[in-house]
Parts: sequence; C-alpha cells; structure tokens
Amino acid sequence: MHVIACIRQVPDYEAPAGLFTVEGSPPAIVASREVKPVIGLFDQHALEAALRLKDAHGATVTAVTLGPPGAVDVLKRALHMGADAAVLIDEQPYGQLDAAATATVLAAAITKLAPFDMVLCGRQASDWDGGVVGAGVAERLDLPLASLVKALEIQNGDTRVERLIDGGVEDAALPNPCVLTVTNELNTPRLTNVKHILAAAKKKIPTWGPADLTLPVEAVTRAVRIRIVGLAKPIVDRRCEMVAGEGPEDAGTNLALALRASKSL
Amino acid sequence: MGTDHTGVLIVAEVSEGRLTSITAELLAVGRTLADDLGGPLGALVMGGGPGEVTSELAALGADCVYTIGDPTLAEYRPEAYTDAVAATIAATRPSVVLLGHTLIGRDLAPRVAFRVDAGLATDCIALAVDGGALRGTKPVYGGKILATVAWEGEGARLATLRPKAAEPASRQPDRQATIVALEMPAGKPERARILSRRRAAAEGPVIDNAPVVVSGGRGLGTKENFDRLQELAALLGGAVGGSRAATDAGWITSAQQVGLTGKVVKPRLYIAVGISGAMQHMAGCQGARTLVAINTDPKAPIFQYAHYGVVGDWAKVLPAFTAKCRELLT
Amino acid sequence: MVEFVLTEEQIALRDLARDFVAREIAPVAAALDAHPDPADCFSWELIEKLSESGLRTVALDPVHGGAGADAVTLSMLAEELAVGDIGISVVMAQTWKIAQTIQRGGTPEQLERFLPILRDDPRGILAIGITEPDMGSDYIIPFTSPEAGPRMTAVRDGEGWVLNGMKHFISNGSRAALYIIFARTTEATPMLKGMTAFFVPRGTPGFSVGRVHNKMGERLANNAELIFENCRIPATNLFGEVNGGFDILQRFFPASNAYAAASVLGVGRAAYEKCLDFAKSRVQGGRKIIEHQSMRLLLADTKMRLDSTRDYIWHAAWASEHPEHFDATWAAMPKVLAAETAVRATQVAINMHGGYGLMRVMGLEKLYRDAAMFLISDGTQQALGLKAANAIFPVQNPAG
Repeated sequence: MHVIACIRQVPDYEAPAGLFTVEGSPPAIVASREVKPVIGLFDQHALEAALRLKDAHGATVTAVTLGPPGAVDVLKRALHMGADAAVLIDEQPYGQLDAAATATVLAAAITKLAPFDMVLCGRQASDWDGGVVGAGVAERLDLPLASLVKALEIQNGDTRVERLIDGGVEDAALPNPCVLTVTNELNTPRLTNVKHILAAAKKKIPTWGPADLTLPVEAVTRAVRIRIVGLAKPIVDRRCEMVAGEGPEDAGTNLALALRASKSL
Repeated sequence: MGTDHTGVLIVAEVSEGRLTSITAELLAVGRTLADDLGGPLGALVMGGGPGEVTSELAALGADCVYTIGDPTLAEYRPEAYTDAVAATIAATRPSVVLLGHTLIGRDLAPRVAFRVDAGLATDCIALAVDGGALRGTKPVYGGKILATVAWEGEGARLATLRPKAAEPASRQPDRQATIVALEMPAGKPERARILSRRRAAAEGPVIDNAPVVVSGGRGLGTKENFDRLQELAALLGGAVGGSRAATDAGWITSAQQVGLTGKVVKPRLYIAVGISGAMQHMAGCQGARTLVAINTDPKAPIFQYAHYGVVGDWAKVLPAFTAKCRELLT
Repeated sequence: MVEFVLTEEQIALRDLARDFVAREIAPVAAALDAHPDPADCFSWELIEKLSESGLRTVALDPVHGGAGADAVTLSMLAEELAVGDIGISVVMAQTWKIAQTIQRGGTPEQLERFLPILRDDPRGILAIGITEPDMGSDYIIPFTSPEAGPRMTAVRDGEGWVLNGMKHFISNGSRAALYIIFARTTEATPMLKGMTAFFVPRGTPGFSVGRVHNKMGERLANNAELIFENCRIPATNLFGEVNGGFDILQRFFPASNAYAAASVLGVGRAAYEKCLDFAKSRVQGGRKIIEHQSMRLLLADTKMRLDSTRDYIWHAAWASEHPEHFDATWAAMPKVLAAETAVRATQVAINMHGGYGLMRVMGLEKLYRDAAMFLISDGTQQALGLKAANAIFPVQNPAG
C-alpha cells in the first residue's frame, strides 16, 4: 500500500496576531522573526493518518510539499515522524499560486508518484484557510473524494470513513485510490522519534521543477482563478471592562451585576 | 467574463423540510449583488418540487427558484449534488454562485468550482461589486488578516459565505417567484457509497442559534467541569460550546466547537471560560453582542475582544457568578 | 578549526526533546512535584513515553540498538529535558552515563547479559551506588587516608562475592533495573586501591530498597537507600578489576559531571525564559518592565551566565571523549559553575516576578528548589573545588 500525504509549511498558526503586519505595495503579509515555520495544523493530522496506515498495514508513506526551498524542513520533520520518502515541489517557477493552480501542480506530482492507494490532505491550509485544494486534487485526478474525515480505516480494500455532517457523522465507503481531506478530530499527531531521525539522515529529498512534472509553467499560471488584490489587518476597537473584586468569588458576583446593569443579562 | 453569464444563483440548504438560516443570509447578499450586476437572483433547491420551501425562497427575495425534484437528493450527497449544481450552472449561466460556508458548502463548493473551472473564494464575510467587478473579503491566517480577492477567468464566480456574516433577507410573504423544474442529468454512478448517517440527538440546546452560549476551553481541564458550564447555560436559556482544544480533548462534540473550523455563532451573550482567545476561536464568536471572558492569564488575547473580563480562576469565579445570576433572574 | 553549529541530527534530537517537554512533561511536572509522598512524584508513564520516543536508549551504541549519541549531544538533551523538569532529566542522564560506562568497560558476556535490559525494557533505567551515610565528599575529593572509603564490603565467597552494607541518596535508587555498586574489597587500603565495582540487578536476593528520600527539589526523580544483607552475586558480576573501582569512577566522572551540569543549566534556562515572558507583558511605572533598565541589566547578565556555562559544559563534554584534550579540572568545575549559574538565575527570576514570584502557581519556587539541589548533587561545590585544586596542584590528604 502506498499513501501520499500533502503537507504545507506555514507561519506558526499559534503565533499571536501582533506578530503579523501588512506591508508594501502590492501589500504582503510580513511575519516577525519570532514566528517559526511549521507544518500546517490539519496537514499534521493528514500525515499522522498516513503513518497510522503504515503502522497497521505496512503502507509506505510519501510526504509531498509545494513550496519554496525552505519548505524542505517540513518534509524532514515528516521523515523524522516516520515517513518513508519525501518530495519538494519547487513553487518558485509558478509565481502567484491560488488553490486551483496549486491543485494542478500537486496533481501532476502525485501522478508521477503513482501507483498509490490514497492521498491525504488537511481540510484547509493554516495560512490561507481555503479548504479547496484537496477537492481540486481529486477532481484533477478524477478520484473519489471524502472531505472532513474524522475517522478512517481500510476494510476489504476499500476506505471506510466517518465524515462531519451537521449534527453528527456520515459513514461512507470509497474505492481506492481515493483522496481524503481530514479534520483535527481524526487523531493526535505523534512526536518525532530517534529511530526515524537516524534513518532520515541517509535519505535524500529531491526537488522537482516543471520539467520533472512534465507540466509547462503556462499550464499552471493559466489555471489561476483567484487573485489577492488587497490585504489589511482587521481593526479591533474594543475596550474591555475588567471586573474585579476582593477575590475571585467577589469578582464573579460583580460580573453578574455589571451585566445586569448593562442589560446584557 | 463571458457576457452571457448573468445574475446570481444561490444554493439553498434545507434541513428537515425547512430552509436553514444561511439560506436567508445568502439571499440577502445575493439580492445586493444581483441588483449591482444587473440580473436576476435565482435559488436552487434539491429534492422536491413547488411547496413551502419554494414559497419561502420567493418570500425571501428569489426571482426564480430552480428545483431538481429527484427525492434521492433530499439529503446532501456529494457527487450527485456536484453533478446537479454543475448542470444548473451550465443551464442557467449565472455570473455569481453563492453557497454557505457550512459543512455542506465546504464540501460542495470546491467540487463544483473545479468541475466548472470557476474561481472560488471561501468563507467570505463580505461580497461586493466594485467597478463592475466582484470583490470578496475573506479572513486569512486564522482571521489575523483580511484579504480582498478578485476572480479571473470566464464563466461563473463562486463564493461561500460565512454564516452570520450577513443579516438575513427580510420576508415578504406575498412575493412571487418563477419556479423552474430542472431535469437531473444522467450523472456518472456515485463512487463513494454513503452507508449511513448518524446524528446524536443533541443533549439540550445547540449553539447554532442559541441566544446565550457558555463556552469552555483548555482551562477547564476536565470533561466533568463542562457540567458546571451546562448548569449556567441552562439557567440563562443557552447552550454549551467550546474551543478546538476542548474538542480535541473529547470534552465536547464537534457540533459544539466554536471557531474557524467549527461553528460561527452570534449570540446575545457569549461567555468564554478558560479560553485564551486565539484568532481561530474568535472567528467563531466575535460577532456576539456581549462577549465576556474569564481567564487566569491577564495577557490572554481574549481580553482584546471581550466587552467584560475577569482575571481569575473560573472554578471560583463561575459558581459565584452563577449564584448571583440565579438571584437576579428569579 | 572550530564550529559552534549543531548538526542536522542534533537539531532534530533537540527539537524532539523540546516537543516532548511541551507535550508530556510541562503539563504534569508541577502536580507531580507537589505530591507529599516522594514515591508519588515519580511517573513510569513518562519513562515509558521517553522509551517510545527513543530518548531513553539514545546513549546506547547503534550495534546495541541506540543512537550512539556523543557527550555533547547528551549534554544538550539533558538540558532540554531539564527545562521541562530536572528530575526527568536526571533519570535519563543517569541512565545515559551509566550505559556509556557499561559499554566502555563491561566484558562481552556482561554486555550481552545487561544491555538487552536497557534496550528492551521500557522501564529500563540505571543507578550507580557510591554514596553512603559515612561516605560522600570523601570520594569526590578524593580523601585517600585509610579511614576514607566505603563502609560497605564485598567479601569473596567461593567464585562469587557477598555484599554487606548500605547506600543512600542514590538517584533512581528505588526504580532502577540494574545497579553498579561500589564496595570495599580490601579493608586496610585507601579509597583509590580498596574499592571494587559490581553489577547488581534489581531483585537479587539480599538486596532491598530502603527509604525513598523526601527531597527539597528534583522530586520527579526518586533517590533511595539501598540495603545489602549477605547479598550474593556471581563472579561474572565483577565490573572491571578487583580493587579497580576508583579507576572506573575516574573514567566516569568527566561525562557525569558535564551531564549533571547540563541538567541544572536547564533549570536556569527555564527560569530565564519565564523572566522574558513575564517582563514582556508586566507593566509597571507605565511601561513594560522589560523596558526598565534594572530589569534589562538582569536579563543581559543572566543570559551571559547561561551561555558561557553552556559553552564550558559542552567543551568539557567533548573533551571527555577526546582525553588528549581533557583538562582534569573539567571533571569537577562544570557542575560547580552550572549550579551557581542556575541558583542565581532562579533567584533573579523570583526577584523579577515580584510578588508573583512567591506564588507557587507561577512555578518559580519549584525552580529555586530544583536548582539548589545541585549545590550538593554530584558533589558539593566545595568538594569539587578541592578536586579541581588537586588537579592544579596536588597535596597529600588535603585539609583545612
């Protein structure tokens, strides 16, 4: 079994808003040096799901990233968690990528990694919050897709999933190969491991360009459908009335009184 | 932009025979866009013919209601809905297609976008026409930044609208709309098989439209502590919610999760207990009329968004607060 | 040519240790420390998770299933774990240093018998028993008069030995799977020539664990009394040569001192990081206190001491594996400097936090207690100072 996990390097999504500014013309988001690059939140769950298929079924796991050269760090982390192989797809030749163009490039890379049984993506990237690329990959590859997956297992060669619906879950079965986008309820991502750190030292992470994907740059730029034409920080203009008291119980009482007085209660 | 694409199409959501609240919000936004772009406002509804739902869509402002009557489409099925919406777009050629950024919309909109090769901006909090061109405002970086996006390419432009971002359209009970029954195309057989749907009967009120939400985060520490929140919520006539951390810890269900990848709620009163206030969470609750925060950390970001705050141990603050509320309300 | 850059592998191991601290140690350390009964402060769950991550066996040679981590890497990891909790760091550091000692000095038969315990048992931690109620600084200095030395004895019994006596204050004493015990084998001979080392596995008849000590700090590690009453061990459990015990200690001390130093350095760093965090948000006098000159000077001074202590430790650790470059004072002074640095840093931290620094919930008093443990642990500051002085200019039986 061969499972491909698509992961993305993003600025630390837990970093506070104050560490980000919008600067320049055309405007760009600038993160302070304190903000470390990490694997996107939901991508970690996708990678963990792939590694659990490795634990349970002996699958080989390939991690794939579309990004700048520095994004190789997330692929190294994937190897340190136990992925068998990793590939970096250089994003630099393509200019500004949107979800549609990203899906086009990823689909070409995944095709080159065939044969495979499953492609796992996070439900949305932790920087652009789109939630579109996973579906795009499935559509470009003409593969069945299940999104918002919170549980998954292999049964008789099919993939059985539970996905989020209003008020509950939907149980579905997909033939393999399939594409899944996963949510945080699915699992807890593991730590890296000394054994894998040592093994990774002997592995090379290739970088693929347009020639490796046999995908002309124009085909990608023509696929772009959304452009960002403005960026701004939301203005939060709120003054919080801090309610105190002689100790926490007293503060609680005063809070109720304050809310009553302002007719919020 | 293909000149024969005109007007706005919204994809209605129906639950247990009634329109969900997002549909009225889509119609409000759709109406403005249709008027600015010049063209009709259409609404697509699946799984039935003319009736209460189509009348309601008309009352909320649709000029034309498209129905696909196949009863197997009464509940959302990803592949069949994708085929149906794509076929409707091909047949009716709208300039803009709007869906809700709901659990259905998050799945359906990207599939449709790639099927019809259209641009899609998700989770928009605003949509407007600027110099004849559609512009969407969309929070990114977990809500820390607002992006303005533009669409490229020929054909329709797709967007999903964040629930509660827009006021719902007002009802005019006598309003009429043209009702057009569309034929469902002979689609490809579905590859994913839906085996069952399991919906837990919600234990008590749900947060979606509750007037009061009492929400707990990492600071609660245990599942049992959420019972204390339940006590307060019941007293105030509200529902219990929580952060992603609380969901990950198994203290609440996904249906109770408030945030960017949970639910967006806009209650009269939102009480955040032991929640730090990360943007991903605030995206789900900052529209509350009154936001109250209780946290031991005076530096917690939530105090930048709250109207009222108490720095203290919730385990001591909350019982006193609940007791005083009980006294004031009875 | 000197490079002060970690390798990619070291960075990955460091990040693993940091992630482990954040996910597994930080959430539970304060609560474990607070248990009144010291036995309740110890967590097998944490040890088993350390095993799962591969960190417990990182010092084993690859041929024995580990990573073959060198002394600098282990110093780095000891510090990282200690930022989370010093007890956890010590449990691991003891295991690493003793594993290295066994690998370097054990017979092939001993390696085959004992290393699998270390490799495969998720609770496989180690202890070294030297200290006794009447022997502490004596073996650090060392004091070489005939009276000085272990009271515990090992007497020939056929092919094997019989051990009698007791040890106390032993790190991992109540928890180890395997112990290296030092006993007197020649009554009339001084420390350097009368002591022998033996392997004693847990559960050997005649060997029992006594009291678990109730310590001021470092509570997540258990220290205990070890009691030997006619404890018989086979000849194959002799470690090294008869009367060659001190030679083993001589080879053990350099890396051991560096790792102890690294552990307590981690406490100092934890205190410093808390200061930074607090100073960036606490506002007094109308400004963040990190903008106040008096606080800024404290931060700069603390950072200087932490950084220079680390460089000293890592140099000593590296040299412990390159003996031709080793300075004998480095077998003693790194821990002296690190303990001083950390104790000072924790005091500064309490100071900077003002009233909050005195509140248990802020965790600074725990760091204060943890750091102070190492004024004594692995040798008192004074005993180690005399040891280093002896390396500079030896005197017979140093006194006064």
